Amino acid sequence: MNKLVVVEDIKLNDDHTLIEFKDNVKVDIKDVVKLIDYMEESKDITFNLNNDSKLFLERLWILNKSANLVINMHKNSDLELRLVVINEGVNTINLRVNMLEDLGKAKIYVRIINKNKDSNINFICDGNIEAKTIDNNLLEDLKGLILDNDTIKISPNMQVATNEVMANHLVTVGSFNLEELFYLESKGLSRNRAKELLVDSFLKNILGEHLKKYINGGDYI
Amino acid sequence: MLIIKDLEVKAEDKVIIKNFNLEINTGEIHVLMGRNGTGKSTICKAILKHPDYQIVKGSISFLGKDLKDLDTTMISRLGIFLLSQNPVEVQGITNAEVLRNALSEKNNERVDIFKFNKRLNEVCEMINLPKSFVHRDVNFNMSGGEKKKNELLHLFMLEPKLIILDEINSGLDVDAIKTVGLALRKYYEIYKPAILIVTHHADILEYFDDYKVHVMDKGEITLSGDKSLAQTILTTGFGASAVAEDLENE
Repeated sequence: MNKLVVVEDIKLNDDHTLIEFKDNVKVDIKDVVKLIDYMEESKDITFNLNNDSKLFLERLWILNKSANLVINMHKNSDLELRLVVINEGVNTINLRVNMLEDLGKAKIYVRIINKNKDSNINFICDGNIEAKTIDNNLLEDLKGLILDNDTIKISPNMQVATNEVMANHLVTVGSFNLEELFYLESKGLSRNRAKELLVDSFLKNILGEHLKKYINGGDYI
Repeated sequence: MLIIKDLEVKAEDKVIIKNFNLEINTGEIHVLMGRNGTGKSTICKAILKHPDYQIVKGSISFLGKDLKDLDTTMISRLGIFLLSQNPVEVQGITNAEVLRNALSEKNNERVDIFKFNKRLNEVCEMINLPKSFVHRDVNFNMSGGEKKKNELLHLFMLEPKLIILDEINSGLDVDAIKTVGLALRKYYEIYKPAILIVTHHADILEYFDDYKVHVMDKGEITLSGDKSLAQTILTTGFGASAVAEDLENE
């Protein structure tokens, strides 16, 4: 059974159409759940993916203090995590994905910017694949865009205790691509406008239409 | 229209262009030829102040304006358009977004969406480009030929007065060269821009009736002539241009 859950104010209703996240909450996922949320708070949340369940989690996270996000995956469970983090202040996010049994598939896409030049984020992604498990598949695609001498640190960790696994990680942290900037400016765009469009595309690239409307590159340049 | 005097350009402390002089008037077509590594692409990018290159000596003026203190944006808005050998891919930003923003900022006013879309459709039909390209990410997931046609969309929408074509025929098949050549000729017939073409091949030159040819070697122009010089070089190679230079000096 598919559930499309679009969360704006994070409230729990009996028909599970909206979910409230309290701090330190554990969320049980059964069946297939698509969760799209916009979060302006830093809360610690744990998702437990039961056997044969699927979680598609798309989140635009406005971070103002450190937070932990843990996802425990059981047999034949499927995770697709699309996370855009806009950080303010000096914070750490610990994202931990535990693949506890066989046949798990986890794709993790993260895009990070800081709201201002004094902000500093340390994003730690721990992918943990248990011993004696087989046929788990883990992808970490983590990118940070430095806007103005702010600091982004990304650690793509993988602890893999088995040989029967496919695990990949990709990390880039950098400033604007100079060729892209030159190209846009050579069409007549101002530098600021070019940067706004590039920030927009960087953040929106992994998001669906529900959350794109909350992003305006101009707010961060 | 474009006057380059005694230009010297460096990249990472290495002199790439030296003693470079060139004047292109409105409606004129100039062709830059030369062996690989002689600085042809460098001059194309240096005119637009690409960040990899520093102008250390000399001057460039366009329409009477000294480009010395102008940045890439301002130079582009004056009316200079660069079509690179390998157009940059910009994922996540569509052609329509780039063009709409460019026109809006240039004219300092909001673009009339109706007129803008109408013009986009007209241009697509004129250059035989599928209308779906308008909403595709700039040059992303496009073949070499598609990228060049995509850039022609930008050309017709931005209506520049000087077009710089850096090896436009590179990577194009015969049909694509024809499409690109015809589109450029059409633009030329309508707008009579100045054009600077960097090329190794004659195929794109067939779409223009008359042009001046300059041969570059080690960062400077060593020989200039009319279109027959291009034919000589394409037939016998750049060694022939050295012979021609010797004959000229006799």
